[in-house]
Amino acid sequence: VRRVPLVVILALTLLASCSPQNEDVQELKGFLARSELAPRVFDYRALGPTDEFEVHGEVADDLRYKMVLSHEGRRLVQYVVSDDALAVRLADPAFGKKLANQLGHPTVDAALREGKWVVDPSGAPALFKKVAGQRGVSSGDPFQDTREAIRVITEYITQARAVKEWNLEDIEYRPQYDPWRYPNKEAQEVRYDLLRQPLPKSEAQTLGGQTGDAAQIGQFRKTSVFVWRNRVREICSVIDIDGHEDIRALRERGLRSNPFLANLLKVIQRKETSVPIEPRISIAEVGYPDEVAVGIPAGAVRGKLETFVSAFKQGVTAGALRPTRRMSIDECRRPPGETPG
Amino acid sequence: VRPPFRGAAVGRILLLLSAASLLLGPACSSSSDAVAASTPAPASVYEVDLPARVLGLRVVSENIRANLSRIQQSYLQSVGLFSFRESNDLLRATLQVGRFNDVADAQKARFRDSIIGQLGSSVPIRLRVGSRSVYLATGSDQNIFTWFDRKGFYVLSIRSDYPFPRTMMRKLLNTELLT
Repeated sequence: VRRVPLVVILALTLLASCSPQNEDVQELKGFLARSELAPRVFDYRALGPTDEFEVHGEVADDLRYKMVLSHEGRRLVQYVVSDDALAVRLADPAFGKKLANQLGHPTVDAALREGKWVVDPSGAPALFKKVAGQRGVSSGDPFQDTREAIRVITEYITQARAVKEWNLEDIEYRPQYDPWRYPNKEAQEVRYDLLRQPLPKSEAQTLGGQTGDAAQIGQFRKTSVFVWRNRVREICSVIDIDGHEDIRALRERGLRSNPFLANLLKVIQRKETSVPIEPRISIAEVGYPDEVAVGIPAGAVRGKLETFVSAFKQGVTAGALRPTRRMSIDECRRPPGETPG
Repeated sequence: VRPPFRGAAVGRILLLLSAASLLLGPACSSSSDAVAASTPAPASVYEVDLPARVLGLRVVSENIRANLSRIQQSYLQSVGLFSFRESNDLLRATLQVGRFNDVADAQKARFRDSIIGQLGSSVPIRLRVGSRSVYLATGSDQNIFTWFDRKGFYVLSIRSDYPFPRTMMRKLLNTELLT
Protein backbone atom coordinates (compact mmCIF):
# COMPACT_ATOMS: atom_id res chain seq x y z
CA VAL A 1 0.00 0.00 0.00
CA ARG A 2 2.91 2.30 0.80
CA ARG A 3 4.12 1.87 -2.74
CA VAL A 4 1.00 3.38 -4.23
CA PRO A 5 1.81 7.01 -3.41
CA LEU A 6 5.32 6.43 -4.68
CA VAL A 7 4.03 5.08 -7.97
CA VAL A 8 1.61 7.97 -8.27
CA ILE A 9 4.36 10.49 -7.58
CA LEU A 10 6.63 8.78 -10.08
CA ALA A 11 3.90 8.77 -12.72
CA LEU A 12 3.11 12.41 -12.09
CA THR A 13 6.79 13.26 -12.32
CA LEU A 14 7.06 11.45 -15.65
CA LEU A 15 3.93 13.13 -16.93
CA ALA A 16 5.19 16.49 -15.83
CA SER A 17 8.44 15.96 -17.64
CA CYS A 18 6.82 14.63 -20.81
CA SER A 19 3.76 16.75 -21.38
CA PRO A 20 5.49 20.06 -22.14
CA GLN A 21 7.49 18.38 -24.90
CA ASN A 22 4.35 16.84 -26.36
CA GLU A 23 2.73 20.23 -26.22
CA ASP A 24 5.70 21.74 -28.03
CA VAL A 25 5.43 19.15 -30.82
CA GLN A 26 1.74 19.83 -31.27
CA GLU A 27 2.28 23.58 -31.14
CA LEU A 28 5.00 23.47 -33.74
CA LYS A 29 3.01 21.17 -36.02
CA GLY A 30 0.11 23.60 -35.74
CA PHE A 31 2.31 26.54 -36.69
CA LEU A 32 3.78 24.60 -39.63
CA ALA A 33 0.31 23.69 -40.90
CA ARG A 34 -0.92 27.24 -40.46
CA SER A 35 2.09 28.57 -42.36
CA GLU A 36 1.63 26.14 -45.22
CA LEU A 37 -1.99 27.19 -45.63
CA ALA A 38 -1.16 30.88 -46.07
CA PRO A 39 -0.04 32.80 -49.16
CA ARG A 40 3.64 33.45 -48.59
CA VAL A 41 6.92 34.69 -49.97
CA PHE A 42 10.21 33.11 -49.04
CA ASP A 43 13.92 33.00 -49.58
CA TYR A 44 15.46 29.55 -49.36
CA ARG A 45 19.19 29.00 -49.38
CA ALA A 46 21.06 25.73 -49.36
CA LEU A 47 24.72 24.84 -49.29
CA GLY A 48 26.12 21.34 -49.62
CA PRO A 49 29.38 19.82 -50.86
CA THR A 50 28.17 19.71 -54.48
CA ASP A 51 25.61 22.47 -54.74
CA GLU A 52 24.82 25.95 -53.55
CA PHE A 53 21.72 27.86 -54.50
CA GLU A 54 19.22 30.46 -53.46
CA VAL A 55 15.57 30.48 -54.43
CA HIS A 56 13.18 33.37 -54.03
CA GLY A 57 9.61 32.19 -54.18
CA GLU A 58 6.03 33.38 -53.99
CA VAL A 59 3.25 30.94 -53.18
CA ALA A 60 -0.38 31.81 -53.92
CA ASP A 61 -1.62 28.36 -52.96
CA ASP A 62 -0.48 24.75 -53.25
CA LEU A 63 -1.05 24.70 -57.00
CA ARG A 64 0.19 28.16 -57.94
CA TYR A 65 3.66 29.41 -57.14
CA LYS A 66 6.65 30.99 -58.79
CA MET A 67 10.35 30.80 -58.01
CA VAL A 68 13.64 32.26 -59.18
CA LEU A 69 16.77 30.17 -58.82
CA SER A 70 20.06 31.98 -58.27
CA HIS A 71 23.59 30.73 -57.89
CA GLU A 72 26.22 32.89 -56.24
CA GLY A 73 24.17 36.01 -56.83
CA ARG A 74 23.37 35.30 -60.47
CA ARG A 75 19.76 34.64 -61.48
CA LEU A 76 19.58 31.46 -63.53
CA VAL A 77 16.07 30.08 -63.94
CA GLN A 78 12.55 31.45 -63.48
CA TYR A 79 9.93 28.82 -62.75
CA VAL A 80 6.15 29.24 -62.59
CA VAL A 81 3.58 26.58 -61.78
CA SER A 82 -0.09 27.36 -62.29
CA ASP A 83 -2.32 24.33 -61.75
CA ASP A 84 -1.27 21.84 -64.45
CA ALA A 85 0.98 24.23 -66.35
CA LEU A 86 4.70 24.78 -65.91
CA ALA A 87 6.45 27.82 -67.38
CA VAL A 88 10.22 28.21 -67.42
CA ARG A 89 12.61 30.93 -68.51
CA LEU A 90 16.38 30.86 -68.48
CA ALA A 91 17.23 34.20 -66.89
CA ASP A 92 20.82 33.39 -67.77
CA PRO A 93 20.69 31.61 -71.14
CA ALA A 94 24.34 30.63 -70.74
CA PHE A 95 23.21 28.33 -67.93
CA GLY A 96 21.44 26.23 -70.57
CA LYS A 97 24.83 25.26 -72.01
CA LYS A 98 25.78 23.73 -68.69
CA LEU A 99 22.71 21.51 -68.76
CA ALA A 100 22.55 19.84 -72.16
CA ASN A 101 23.13 20.36 -75.86
CA GLN A 102 19.41 20.08 -76.51
CA LEU A 103 16.82 21.32 -74.04
CA GLY A 104 13.86 19.85 -75.90
CA HIS A 105 12.07 20.25 -79.21
CA PRO A 106 13.98 22.72 -81.44
CA THR A 107 11.30 25.37 -80.85
CA VAL A 108 11.58 24.95 -77.09
CA ASP A 109 15.36 24.78 -77.20
CA ALA A 110 15.62 27.97 -79.25
CA ALA A 111 13.15 29.86 -77.06
CA LEU A 112 14.95 28.89 -73.86
CA ARG A 113 18.36 29.84 -75.23
CA GLU A 114 16.96 33.20 -76.30
CA GLY A 115 15.74 33.85 -72.77
CA LYS A 116 12.05 33.50 -73.67
CA TRP A 117 9.35 31.95 -71.54
CA VAL A 118 8.24 28.45 -72.47
CA VAL A 119 5.02 26.98 -71.10
CA ASP A 120 4.08 23.32 -70.95
CA PRO A 121 0.30 23.24 -70.29
CA SER A 122 0.50 19.87 -68.52
CA GLY A 123 4.08 19.98 -67.26
CA ALA A 124 3.54 20.84 -63.59
CA PRO A 125 5.52 18.68 -61.16
CA ALA A 126 3.90 16.20 -58.84
CA LEU A 127 2.25 17.82 -55.84
CA PHE A 128 4.40 16.02 -53.31
CA LYS A 129 7.35 13.82 -54.10
CA LYS A 130 7.86 10.68 -52.12
CA VAL A 131 11.53 10.19 -51.44
CA ALA A 132 12.90 6.80 -50.59
CA GLY A 133 15.14 6.63 -47.54
CA GLN A 134 15.79 9.53 -45.23
CA ARG A 135 15.15 13.14 -46.07
CA GLY A 136 17.75 15.77 -45.54
CA VAL A 137 20.01 15.18 -48.47
CA SER A 138 19.46 17.22 -51.60
CA SER A 139 16.82 15.82 -53.95
CA GLY A 140 18.79 17.15 -56.91
CA ASP A 141 15.96 19.54 -57.68
CA PRO A 142 16.32 22.92 -55.96
CA PHE A 143 12.71 23.81 -56.78
CA GLN A 144 11.44 20.70 -55.06
CA ASP A 145 13.70 21.20 -52.02
CA THR A 146 12.47 24.77 -51.76
CA ARG A 147 8.81 23.92 -52.17
CA GLU A 148 9.02 21.36 -49.38
CA ALA A 149 11.07 23.47 -46.99
CA ILE A 150 8.22 23.78 -44.49
CA ARG A 151 6.58 20.42 -45.09
CA VAL A 152 9.83 18.52 -44.58
CA ILE A 153 10.05 19.76 -40.98
CA THR A 154 7.14 17.50 -40.09
CA GLU A 155 9.27 14.60 -41.29
CA TYR A 156 12.30 15.83 -39.38
CA ILE A 157 10.12 15.87 -36.26
CA THR A 158 9.48 12.15 -36.62
CA GLN A 159 13.24 11.58 -36.72
CA ALA A 160 13.88 13.78 -33.70
CA ARG A 161 14.02 12.68 -30.08
CA ALA A 162 11.82 15.56 -29.05
CA VAL A 163 10.76 19.09 -29.89
CA LYS A 164 11.37 21.75 -27.28
CA GLU A 165 10.67 25.42 -27.11
CA TRP A 166 14.05 27.05 -26.69
CA ASN A 167 14.88 28.10 -23.17
CA LEU A 168 18.28 29.27 -22.05
CA GLU A 169 17.55 27.91 -18.59
CA ASP A 170 16.81 24.41 -19.88
CA ILE A 171 19.08 21.92 -18.14
CA GLU A 172 19.59 20.05 -21.43
CA TYR A 173 20.56 23.15 -23.41
CA ARG A 174 24.23 23.40 -24.34
CA PRO A 175 24.97 26.66 -26.14
CA GLN A 176 28.40 25.50 -27.33
CA TYR A 177 26.71 22.99 -29.66
CA ASP A 178 23.98 25.36 -30.78
CA PRO A 179 24.88 27.38 -33.90
CA TRP A 180 21.64 29.31 -34.18
CA ARG A 181 20.63 32.76 -33.03
CA TYR A 182 18.50 33.30 -29.98
CA PRO A 183 14.84 34.21 -30.56
CA ASN A 184 13.85 37.84 -30.28
CA LYS A 185 11.82 37.64 -27.10
CA GLU A 186 10.97 41.33 -27.17
CA ALA A 187 9.21 40.79 -30.48
CA GLN A 188 7.58 37.66 -29.00
CA GLU A 189 9.41 35.41 -31.38
CA VAL A 190 9.50 31.77 -30.28
CA ARG A 191 12.12 29.22 -31.23
CA TYR A 192 11.52 25.48 -31.36
CA ASP A 193 14.46 23.08 -31.42
CA LEU A 194 14.30 19.58 -32.84
CA LEU A 195 16.38 17.55 -30.41
CA ARG A 196 18.51 14.87 -32.01
CA GLN A 197 18.59 11.16 -31.26
CA PRO A 198 21.89 10.21 -29.56
CA LEU A 199 24.63 8.41 -31.43
CA PRO A 200 25.31 4.84 -30.29
CA LYS A 201 28.48 4.55 -28.21
CA SER A 202 28.96 0.82 -28.54
CA GLU A 203 28.05 -2.06 -30.82
CA ALA A 204 25.55 -3.32 -28.25
CA GLN A 205 23.43 -0.23 -28.86
CA THR A 206 23.01 -1.02 -32.56
CA LEU A 207 21.09 -3.55 -34.56
CA GLY A 208 23.41 -3.87 -37.51
CA GLY A 209 26.76 -2.81 -36.09
CA GLN A 210 28.87 -0.06 -37.57
CA THR A 211 28.01 -0.83 -41.17
CA GLY A 212 24.27 -1.01 -40.68
CA ASP A 213 21.99 1.85 -39.84
CA ALA A 214 23.97 2.80 -36.74
CA ALA A 215 24.19 6.41 -37.86
CA GLN A 216 21.31 8.36 -39.36
CA ILE A 217 21.16 11.85 -40.81
CA GLY A 218 18.78 12.98 -38.09
CA GLN A 219 21.45 12.38 -35.44
CA PHE A 220 23.54 15.15 -37.02
CA ARG A 221 20.81 17.58 -38.03
CA LYS A 222 20.45 20.70 -35.92
CA THR A 223 17.15 22.29 -36.84
CA SER A 224 15.48 25.26 -35.22
CA VAL A 225 12.21 26.83 -36.30
CA PHE A 226 11.48 30.45 -35.44
CA VAL A 227 7.81 31.33 -35.08
CA TRP A 228 6.36 34.80 -34.99
CA ARG A 229 2.67 35.60 -34.69
CA ASN A 230 1.80 31.90 -34.93
CA ARG A 231 3.57 31.42 -38.24
CA VAL A 232 6.96 30.14 -39.23
CA ARG A 233 9.31 33.05 -39.84
CA GLU A 234 12.61 31.25 -40.28
CA ILE A 235 13.93 27.70 -40.47
CA CYS A 236 17.61 27.09 -39.79
CA SER A 237 18.98 23.62 -40.36
CA VAL A 238 22.46 22.16 -40.61
CA ILE A 239 23.81 18.65 -40.90
CA ASP A 240 26.93 18.99 -38.84
CA ILE A 241 29.20 15.98 -38.50
CA ASP A 242 32.35 17.62 -37.16
CA GLY A 243 30.37 19.74 -34.72
CA HIS A 244 28.55 16.79 -33.16
CA GLU A 245 29.30 16.68 -29.44
CA ASP A 246 30.28 13.00 -29.46
CA ILE A 247 32.55 13.42 -32.48
CA ARG A 248 34.20 16.45 -30.93
CA ALA A 249 34.67 14.60 -27.65
CA LEU A 250 36.09 11.62 -29.51
CA ARG A 251 38.66 13.79 -31.27
CA GLU A 252 39.58 15.55 -28.06
CA ARG A 253 40.12 12.26 -26.24
CA GLY A 254 41.71 10.52 -29.17
CA LEU A 255 40.21 8.04 -31.62
CA ARG A 256 41.44 5.12 -29.51
CA SER A 257 39.25 6.23 -26.62
CA ASN A 258 36.22 4.69 -28.36
CA PRO A 259 37.12 2.37 -31.26
CA PHE A 260 33.44 1.77 -32.04
CA LEU A 261 32.70 5.46 -32.49
CA ALA A 262 35.95 5.98 -34.39
CA ASN A 263 34.93 3.27 -36.84
CA LEU A 264 31.47 4.71 -37.11
CA LEU A 265 33.00 8.06 -38.03
CA LYS A 266 35.02 6.35 -40.75
CA VAL A 267 31.85 4.73 -42.12
CA ILE A 268 30.22 8.16 -42.24
CA GLN A 269 33.21 9.80 -43.88
CA ARG A 270 33.33 7.06 -46.52
CA LYS A 271 29.59 7.62 -47.12
CA GLU A 272 28.89 3.98 -46.36
CA THR A 273 25.81 4.56 -44.23
CA SER A 274 22.50 3.46 -45.74
CA VAL A 275 21.84 7.10 -46.67
CA PRO A 276 25.07 9.07 -47.12
CA ILE A 277 25.51 11.71 -44.44
CA GLU A 278 26.98 14.94 -45.82
CA PRO A 279 27.27 18.40 -44.33
CA ARG A 280 24.46 20.64 -45.51
CA ILE A 281 23.01 23.96 -44.49
CA SER A 282 19.55 25.11 -45.43
CA ILE A 283 17.86 28.32 -44.39
CA ALA A 284 14.36 29.47 -45.19
CA GLU A 285 12.98 32.91 -44.41
CA VAL A 286 9.24 33.26 -44.83
CA GLY A 287 6.90 36.24 -45.06
CA TYR A 288 3.13 36.40 -45.32
CA PRO A 289 1.60 39.08 -47.55
CA ASP A 290 -2.21 39.23 -47.75
CA GLU A 291 -2.21 38.06 -51.31
CA VAL A 292 0.17 36.61 -53.87
CA ALA A 293 -0.63 36.60 -57.59
CA VAL A 294 0.82 33.90 -59.79
CA GLY A 295 0.07 33.41 -63.46
CA ILE A 296 1.64 32.08 -66.62
CA PRO A 297 3.53 34.92 -68.35
CA ALA A 298 1.85 36.26 -71.46
CA GLY A 299 3.44 35.42 -74.78
CA ALA A 300 5.15 32.25 -73.59
CA VAL A 301 6.10 29.75 -76.27
CA ARG A 302 4.12 26.51 -75.92
CA GLY A 303 5.99 23.23 -75.84
CA LYS A 304 6.91 20.21 -73.76
CA LEU A 305 9.39 20.85 -70.97
CA GLU A 306 10.11 17.23 -69.99
CA THR A 307 13.54 17.26 -71.62
CA PHE A 308 14.47 20.53 -69.97
CA VAL A 309 13.31 19.37 -66.52
CA SER A 310 15.26 16.14 -66.88
CA ALA A 311 18.39 17.96 -68.11
CA PHE A 312 18.08 20.47 -65.28
CA LYS A 313 18.00 17.78 -62.59
CA GLN A 314 20.87 15.89 -64.21
CA GLY A 315 22.83 19.11 -64.53
CA VAL A 316 22.37 19.97 -60.87
CA THR A 317 23.40 16.47 -59.83
CA ALA A 318 26.44 16.72 -62.11
CA GLY A 319 27.56 19.97 -60.48
CA ALA A 320 25.95 22.84 -62.43
CA LEU A 321 25.40 24.58 -59.08
CA ARG A 322 28.75 23.65 -57.56
CA PRO A 323 29.83 26.18 -54.94
CA THR A 324 32.94 28.19 -55.66
CA ARG A 325 32.78 30.30 -52.55
CA ARG A 326 31.45 30.01 -49.04
CA MET A 327 27.81 30.97 -48.58
CA SER A 328 27.00 33.36 -45.78
CA ILE A 329 24.42 32.16 -43.28
CA ASP A 330 24.67 35.10 -40.94
CA GLU A 331 20.90 35.50 -40.60
CA CYS A 332 20.69 32.26 -38.67
CA ARG A 333 24.12 32.06 -37.09
CA ARG A 334 24.44 33.34 -33.54
CA PRO A 335 27.12 35.98 -33.30
CA PRO A 336 29.71 35.36 -30.60
CA GLY A 337 28.65 36.75 -27.26
CA GLU A 338 25.00 37.23 -28.20
CA THR A 339 22.66 37.35 -25.26
CA PRO A 340 18.97 36.51 -25.39
CA GLY A 341 16.94 39.49 -26.66
CA VAL B 1 -23.63 6.40 -25.05
CA ARG B 2 -22.84 8.48 -28.08
CA PRO B 3 -24.47 7.25 -31.26
CA PRO B 4 -22.21 5.95 -34.01
CA PHE B 5 -20.80 8.77 -36.02
CA ARG B 6 -23.06 10.11 -38.69
CA GLY B 7 -20.49 10.33 -41.43
CA ALA B 8 -20.60 6.57 -41.78
CA ALA B 9 -23.85 6.77 -43.70
CA VAL B 10 -22.36 9.30 -46.08
CA GLY B 11 -19.46 6.95 -46.52
CA ARG B 12 -21.80 4.15 -47.50
CA ILE B 13 -23.27 6.33 -50.21
CA LEU B 14 -19.83 7.16 -51.48
CA LEU B 15 -18.93 3.50 -51.52
CA LEU B 16 -22.10 2.59 -53.33
CA LEU B 17 -21.72 5.28 -55.92
CA SER B 18 -18.09 4.57 -56.39
CA ALA B 19 -18.46 0.86 -56.83
CA ALA B 20 -21.53 0.99 -58.99
CA SER B 21 -21.25 4.06 -61.09
CA LEU B 22 -17.89 5.73 -61.10
CA LEU B 23 -16.48 3.43 -63.75
CA LEU B 24 -13.04 4.60 -62.84
CA GLY B 25 -12.53 1.83 -60.38
CA PRO B 26 -13.25 1.55 -56.67
CA ALA B 27 -12.66 4.85 -54.96
CA CYS B 28 -13.26 3.92 -51.35
CA SER B 29 -11.09 1.91 -49.06
CA SER B 30 -13.67 0.87 -46.55
CA SER B 31 -17.11 1.47 -45.20
CA SER B 32 -18.57 1.22 -41.77
CA ASP B 33 -21.30 -0.92 -40.27
CA ALA B 34 -22.37 1.94 -38.09
CA VAL B 35 -25.98 3.02 -38.34
CA ALA B 36 -27.05 6.60 -38.77
CA ALA B 37 -28.50 8.34 -35.78
CA SER B 38 -31.73 9.49 -37.36
CA THR B 39 -33.79 8.91 -40.47
CA PRO B 40 -33.28 11.58 -43.08
CA ALA B 41 -35.16 11.51 -46.33
CA PRO B 42 -33.89 9.10 -48.98
CA ALA B 43 -31.32 10.59 -51.26
CA SER B 44 -32.34 11.36 -54.78
CA VAL B 45 -30.73 12.63 -57.92
CA TYR B 46 -30.59 16.38 -57.83
CA GLU B 47 -30.13 18.81 -60.62
CA VAL B 48 -26.79 20.51 -60.24
CA ASP B 49 -25.80 23.70 -61.99
CA LEU B 50 -23.07 22.41 -64.31
CA PRO B 51 -22.23 23.66 -67.79
CA ALA B 52 -22.72 21.35 -70.77
CA ARG B 53 -18.95 21.18 -71.26
CA VAL B 54 -16.00 21.58 -68.94
CA LEU B 55 -12.53 21.94 -70.49
CA GLY B 56 -13.99 20.56 -73.70
CA LEU B 57 -15.36 17.45 -71.98
CA ARG B 58 -19.03 16.62 -72.31
CA VAL B 59 -20.87 16.65 -68.98
CA VAL B 60 -23.39 13.82 -68.60
CA SER B 61 -25.76 13.33 -65.68
CA GLU B 62 -25.63 9.65 -64.76
CA ASN B 63 -28.68 7.73 -63.65
CA ILE B 64 -28.06 6.46 -60.13
CA ARG B 65 -31.63 6.01 -58.94
CA ALA B 66 -31.29 2.26 -58.77
CA ASN B 67 -28.26 2.54 -56.49
CA LEU B 68 -29.82 5.19 -54.28
CA SER B 69 -32.96 3.17 -53.70
CA ARG B 70 -30.89 0.73 -51.64
CA ILE B 71 -29.83 3.39 -49.20
CA GLN B 72 -32.25 3.69 -46.31
CA GLN B 73 -30.48 6.20 -44.12
CA SER B 74 -28.20 9.03 -44.99
CA TYR B 75 -27.25 12.56 -44.14
CA LEU B 76 -27.77 13.75 -47.65
CA GLN B 77 -30.81 15.37 -49.04
CA SER B 78 -29.80 14.53 -52.56
CA VAL B 79 -26.97 13.11 -54.59
CA GLY B 80 -25.94 13.65 -58.17
CA LEU B 81 -23.34 11.90 -60.25
CA PHE B 82 -21.90 13.43 -63.36
CA SER B 83 -19.41 12.08 -65.85
CA PHE B 84 -16.97 14.06 -67.98
CA ARG B 85 -16.39 12.43 -71.34
CA GLU B 86 -14.34 12.99 -74.46
CA SER B 87 -16.13 13.28 -77.80
CA ASN B 88 -15.50 9.54 -78.35
CA ASP B 89 -17.28 8.86 -75.03
CA LEU B 90 -14.03 8.09 -73.19
CA LEU B 91 -14.63 8.71 -69.51
CA ARG B 92 -12.13 11.13 -67.97
CA ALA B 93 -13.68 12.03 -64.64
CA THR B 94 -16.74 11.85 -62.46
CA LEU B 95 -18.16 14.31 -59.98
CA GLN B 96 -20.37 13.33 -57.09
CA VAL B 97 -22.36 16.16 -55.60
CA GLY B 98 -24.06 15.55 -52.28
CA ARG B 99 -26.37 18.05 -50.67
CA PHE B 100 -26.50 17.76 -46.89
CA ASN B 101 -29.79 17.60 -45.09
CA ASP B 102 -30.60 19.23 -41.76
CA VAL B 103 -29.35 16.26 -39.77
CA ALA B 104 -25.81 16.50 -41.07
CA ASP B 105 -23.25 18.33 -38.94
CA ALA B 106 -21.78 19.79 -42.08
CA GLN B 107 -19.75 22.45 -40.33
CA LYS B 108 -18.15 20.04 -37.88
CA ALA B 109 -14.60 19.04 -38.69
CA ARG B 110 -15.21 15.57 -37.31
CA PHE B 111 -18.13 15.01 -39.64
CA ARG B 112 -16.08 16.12 -42.61
CA ASP B 113 -13.10 14.07 -41.54
CA SER B 114 -15.25 10.96 -41.48
CA ILE B 115 -16.13 11.55 -45.13
CA ILE B 116 -12.61 12.38 -46.20
CA GLY B 117 -11.23 9.35 -44.41
CA GLN B 118 -13.29 7.00 -46.54
CA LEU B 119 -12.10 8.27 -49.89
CA GLY B 120 -9.30 6.72 -51.83
CA SER B 121 -6.68 4.23 -50.79
CA SER B 122 -4.16 6.74 -49.48
CA VAL B 123 -4.23 9.10 -46.53
CA PRO B 124 -5.75 12.29 -47.97
CA ILE B 125 -3.53 15.34 -48.23
CA ARG B 126 -4.99 18.73 -47.44
CA LEU B 127 -4.32 21.31 -50.14
CA ARG B 128 -5.02 24.99 -50.13
CA VAL B 129 -6.55 26.09 -53.42
CA GLY B 130 -7.34 29.77 -53.43
CA SER B 131 -8.73 30.34 -49.97
CA ARG B 132 -10.33 26.90 -49.69
CA SER B 133 -9.27 23.49 -48.52
CA VAL B 134 -9.30 20.56 -50.92
CA TYR B 135 -8.41 17.01 -49.94
CA LEU B 136 -6.50 14.85 -52.36
CA ALA B 137 -6.39 11.08 -52.17
CA THR B 138 -5.38 8.50 -54.70
CA GLY B 139 -7.45 5.53 -55.80
CA SER B 140 -6.71 2.86 -58.34
CA ASP B 141 -5.41 4.79 -61.31
CA GLN B 142 -7.23 7.96 -60.29
CA ASN B 143 -6.87 11.09 -58.21
CA ILE B 144 -9.73 12.00 -55.93
CA PHE B 145 -10.30 15.63 -54.94
CA THR B 146 -12.88 16.37 -52.24
CA TRP B 147 -14.13 19.69 -50.96
CA PHE B 148 -17.02 21.07 -48.97
CA ASP B 149 -19.16 24.13 -48.78
CA ARG B 150 -22.06 25.08 -46.56
CA LYS B 151 -24.53 23.12 -48.67
CA GLY B 152 -22.77 19.92 -49.50
CA PHE B 153 -19.67 18.10 -50.56
CA TYR B 154 -18.06 17.29 -53.87
CA VAL B 155 -15.96 14.31 -54.89
CA LEU B 156 -14.11 14.69 -58.15
CA SER B 157 -12.45 11.49 -59.36
CA ILE B 158 -10.11 11.98 -62.30
CA ARG B 159 -8.27 9.35 -64.27
CA SER B 160 -4.57 9.60 -63.64
CA ASP B 161 -3.82 9.86 -67.37
CA TYR B 162 -5.95 12.98 -67.80
CA PRO B 163 -3.51 15.85 -68.38
CA PHE B 164 -5.44 18.70 -66.70
CA PRO B 165 -6.74 17.42 -63.35
CA ARG B 166 -5.87 20.50 -61.29
CA THR B 167 -7.33 22.88 -63.86
CA MET B 168 -10.57 20.92 -63.86
CA MET B 169 -10.69 20.79 -60.09
CA ARG B 170 -10.14 24.54 -59.72
CA LYS B 171 -12.76 25.29 -62.36
CA LEU B 172 -15.36 23.19 -60.54
CA LEU B 173 -14.26 24.47 -57.15
CA ASN B 174 -14.86 28.03 -58.30
CA THR B 175 -18.31 27.19 -59.69
CA GLU B 176 -21.32 27.39 -57.42
CA LEU B 177 -22.69 23.94 -58.15
CA LEU B 178 -25.43 23.77 -55.55
CA THR B 179 -27.71 26.77 -55.77
